Amino acid sequence: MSKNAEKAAKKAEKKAIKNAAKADAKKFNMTSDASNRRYIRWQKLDNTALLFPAIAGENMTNVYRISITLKEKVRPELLQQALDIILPKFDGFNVRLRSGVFWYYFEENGKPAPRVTEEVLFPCRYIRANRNHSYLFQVTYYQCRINLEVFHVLADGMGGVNFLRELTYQYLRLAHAELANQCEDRISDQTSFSVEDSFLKNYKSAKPSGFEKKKAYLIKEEKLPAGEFALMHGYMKVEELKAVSHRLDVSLNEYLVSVFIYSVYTEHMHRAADSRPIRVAVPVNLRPYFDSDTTRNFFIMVSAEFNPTKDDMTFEDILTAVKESLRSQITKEHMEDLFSYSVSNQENKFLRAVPLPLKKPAIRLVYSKSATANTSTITNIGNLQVEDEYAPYIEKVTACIAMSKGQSLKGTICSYNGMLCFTFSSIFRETTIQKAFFRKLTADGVNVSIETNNVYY
Amino acid sequence: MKTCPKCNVKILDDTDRCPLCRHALSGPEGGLHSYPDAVRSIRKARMLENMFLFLSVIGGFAMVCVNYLVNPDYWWSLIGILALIYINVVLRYAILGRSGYQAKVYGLVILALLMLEGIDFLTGDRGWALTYVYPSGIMALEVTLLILMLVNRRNWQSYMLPQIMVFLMSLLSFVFYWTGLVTHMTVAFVAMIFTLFSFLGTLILGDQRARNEMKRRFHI
Repeated sequence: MSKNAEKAAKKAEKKAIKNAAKADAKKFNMTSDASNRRYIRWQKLDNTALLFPAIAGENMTNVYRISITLKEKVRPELLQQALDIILPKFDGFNVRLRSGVFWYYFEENGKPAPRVTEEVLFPCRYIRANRNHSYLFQVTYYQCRINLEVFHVLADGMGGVNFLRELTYQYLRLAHAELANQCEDRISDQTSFSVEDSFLKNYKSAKPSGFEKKKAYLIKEEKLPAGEFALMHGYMKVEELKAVSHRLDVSLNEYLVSVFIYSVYTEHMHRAADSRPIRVAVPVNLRPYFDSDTTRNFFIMVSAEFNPTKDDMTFEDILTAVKESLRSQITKEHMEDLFSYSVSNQENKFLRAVPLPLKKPAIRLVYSKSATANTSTITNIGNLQVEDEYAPYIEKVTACIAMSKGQSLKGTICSYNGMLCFTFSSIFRETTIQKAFFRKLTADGVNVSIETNNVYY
Repeated sequence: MKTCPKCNVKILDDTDRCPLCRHALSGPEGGLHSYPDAVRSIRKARMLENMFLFLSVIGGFAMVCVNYLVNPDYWWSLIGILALIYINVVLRYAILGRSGYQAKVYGLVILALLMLEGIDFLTGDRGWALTYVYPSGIMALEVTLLILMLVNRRNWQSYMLPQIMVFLMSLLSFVFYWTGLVTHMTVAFVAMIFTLFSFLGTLILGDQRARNEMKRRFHI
């Protein structure tokens, strides 16, 4: 085909895509005329979400990223079209954050979807809603990877996975005609649209606080220059990890948390006794325990704790401590008590009537005190299940979370198709803990491949 | 794919050293470039902001020196320094800053008023800033809100809370009067009436949507 003919064909394709997007916008009431007249829905924030707008900022963004890497390069115009199509269907994401006199709340957004852009900066940066059509999430791409970055006020990891998976399905149907013919052009059966506040639904009565307040050992190292953010992905086979964890009679999560604690104990504490415990916050998805499929936040933080009461404690000592502390906390009754305490504060008549400008500093103060109760956070967003028709197009899944007060190194676990990815997100210049972590895994018989975002070179 | 012989891990990046222990890697050339070079972008943006601040500091110092040498009886350079501070804050806050536009509008009005009050103080403290400029600024803010309501018709009701804020700001003139900073209240009174009736007009003419907005904003 001649160059001119090629140019004309590309122009015609772009025009067709634009017209299709306009038609979709009209179909889903994204045009200004329809949205001017319609009632604008609103919803209150769930219990966990109340915290994030009060504490979020440039240095503590409360943004997490989930990425799906395809086996082909991403076409941005199709990704934008896919986002334009699915966003109006997700009430939990099609919102903007408003400040009331006493509380923040969500209101239906209705503006055109955020622009899909190429990734140029570091992950998990603060999402400026006023530069993002008032939306609280962003979709970016880089080479073969689709990134979804979400401000935690909207949804937890499960909610983010729910949205990203559907976005990817829609994108693949647009990019591959044969897939569009094979699969119906509709939302998958795996996808939920529920925006129920499951905390409030399952709250029964006030309970005393069960959260740890004693200060934990905090990792202190030289930091990267302001604004820089390092990622290190470690890829390993799930079956190899399972073999090791079964041999040690612990779950996969307990094993990885123990290895992390062991790394901190050997590299930073130098195997010496210390009065401060190493405590790792582990978010637990509450949905299976309370029969919920909400797309909003529904998780609770428990802490895996290890007290180095004497010198030269072994890895097995750590495994035992982690196993006991996690298993004693991850019970339906205990987790219900934990979130009941938080919800009772939200329901307290006197606290409710405090104006938001006074509530915010109080929330920040309470958060500051509790933030130093944990050394780090390791979150597991689980195994991504995809439909068989789409699996051949998906290479891998990765995720990472932003830094928070006192925690400058965190871990995120996710798996797909038999491969587990443990991602360290860090603002430390050195990689002492990551080195100890991955060396321990390889010493236990797990093969590891490492990929970074080039900050360490 | 390269391997680190010390850590016993495979490195997928296009690099010659292990990111864990910095040891040289063994294996074939090549590797992944999975992320953009974000470090360079961040450092360039910071340089431009800091350059302007540095030039402002030099400019301010030069003005003070010239003032001292030429006319030490009247410190006009302080007005120049106020202006430089204003320009720097506008640059960092309004242009480069990432607050919402409403926060920027309030912030800039307050900043402009502080600067004008400073100039009033330096030029004889005749009280024109608080007597005339402040209530005029309040009315200008209210007019801006009304224009925004007309432009952003899908969400006109979202400006009702800012209207309440502007009305409360107009009441500050009575505090200035009570403390003796202001002696003539005509313009302040007009500003108060204007903002009050603007809000009431929005509430009454806005009907159900205005009432819904007030319920949401004030929900406990």
